[in-house]
Amino acid sequence: MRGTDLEVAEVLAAARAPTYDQDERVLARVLVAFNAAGTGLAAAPARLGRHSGRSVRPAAKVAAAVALATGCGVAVAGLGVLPTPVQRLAHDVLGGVGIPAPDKPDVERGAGTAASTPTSGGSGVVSPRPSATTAHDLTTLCETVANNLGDWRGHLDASDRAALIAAAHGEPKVAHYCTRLLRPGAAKTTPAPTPSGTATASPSAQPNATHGVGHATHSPGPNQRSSNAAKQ
Amino acid sequence: MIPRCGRNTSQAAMPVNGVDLEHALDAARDGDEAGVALLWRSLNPLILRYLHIVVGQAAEDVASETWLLAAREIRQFRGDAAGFRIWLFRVARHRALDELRRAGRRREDPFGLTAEQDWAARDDPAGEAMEQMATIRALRLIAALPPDQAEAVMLRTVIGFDAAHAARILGKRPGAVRVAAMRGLRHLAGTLEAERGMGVKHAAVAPRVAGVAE
Repeated sequence: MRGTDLEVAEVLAAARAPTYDQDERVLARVLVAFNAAGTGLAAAPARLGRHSGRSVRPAAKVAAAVALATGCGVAVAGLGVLPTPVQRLAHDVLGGVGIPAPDKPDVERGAGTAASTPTSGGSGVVSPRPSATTAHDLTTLCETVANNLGDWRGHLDASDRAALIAAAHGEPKVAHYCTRLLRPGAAKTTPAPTPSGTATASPSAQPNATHGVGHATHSPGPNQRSSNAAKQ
Repeated sequence: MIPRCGRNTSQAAMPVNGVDLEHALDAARDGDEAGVALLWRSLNPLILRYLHIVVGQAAEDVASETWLLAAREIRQFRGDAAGFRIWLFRVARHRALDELRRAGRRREDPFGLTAEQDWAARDDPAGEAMEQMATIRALRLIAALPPDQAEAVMLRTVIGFDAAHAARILGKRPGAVRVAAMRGLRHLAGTLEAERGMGVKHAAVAPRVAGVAE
């Protein structure tokens, strides 16, 4: 029997042997996807369900077009978070009702769509709200999110929501963005003091094992990280 | 209950082939594609071997889908390298099971008829060929086990996850994974013994044999 044990050990060692050559073309595609995600081109959830990565973008375009054709499309476009071509189309068609252009800087989006030039004269006119895209203001907005994880949208006005979503590169990423922003020692920002515990209250990007072998339609993903995130 | 990927010092956190996956993961999260490349080069061989056991010839496609998803989501990943490794295997497994459902089949020949051509030889063609044959044979033997045992053996004794982490990947209790792995190893021993009784000869396996993990 000892001989068989040795054979088993040999089989397992052979199974571990590092002899598999990898196809670097796959890595190239992976890096393209990675960089696209970093630039916000892949703002749509990377869900590899039935479409399994074959053609997510056409589906997203169709969905965006349908959304635009309906009332909710106007609302979504108003936030300025649609894919750039779709947002541009929405701006061209619906600019009169305040749909922002896609390439407007976040500052403009965050300040709302009132088309008002900030009054610089000393006429005593109410000064515009501070831009919501400064690090300080984003931190403030994120504190609001952290304190109202279940329904943070209801605690922010439209322009603040838009600014936050733009800064986070997508609504699903707001919670994570705020987690990073509120994290002690967060880089590139000067976060205001955060309520204790708020940074850890946001969802994490860990795998979600809510479905087992028989329910593998959805890949476990960082975006499925918690019920809080799912509801946001 | 949402599992968490906290820090740990288990096998899943160990460097792969000497590569510090923590730094690679941090770099990837910061937008550095070199980090992604390092993760891919370190973990993709393991993913592929596991997938060959689960989904056979579709392993390459499923691994690609897995990495494409990982590439898009890695910036949002919170947790350490061990947690990332577990998450990646879970994604791979779910994608593999989806693929099996789509194809309406369970795993078949884990390498297919022509897959050996992909195993390019380098410095020592004869030696590498022997080693590759041994690896293919080993994976075929493992793939021939009942599916739950095959996966448990792969994750526990080939990939190197501990029972708790393997259980998270498989959606089972650690005890069930231990039992499945143990049965799988016994089953494997029985198969080898039967082959020996029949006088079956195979390519020599790699000499750098490690002990059989429990």
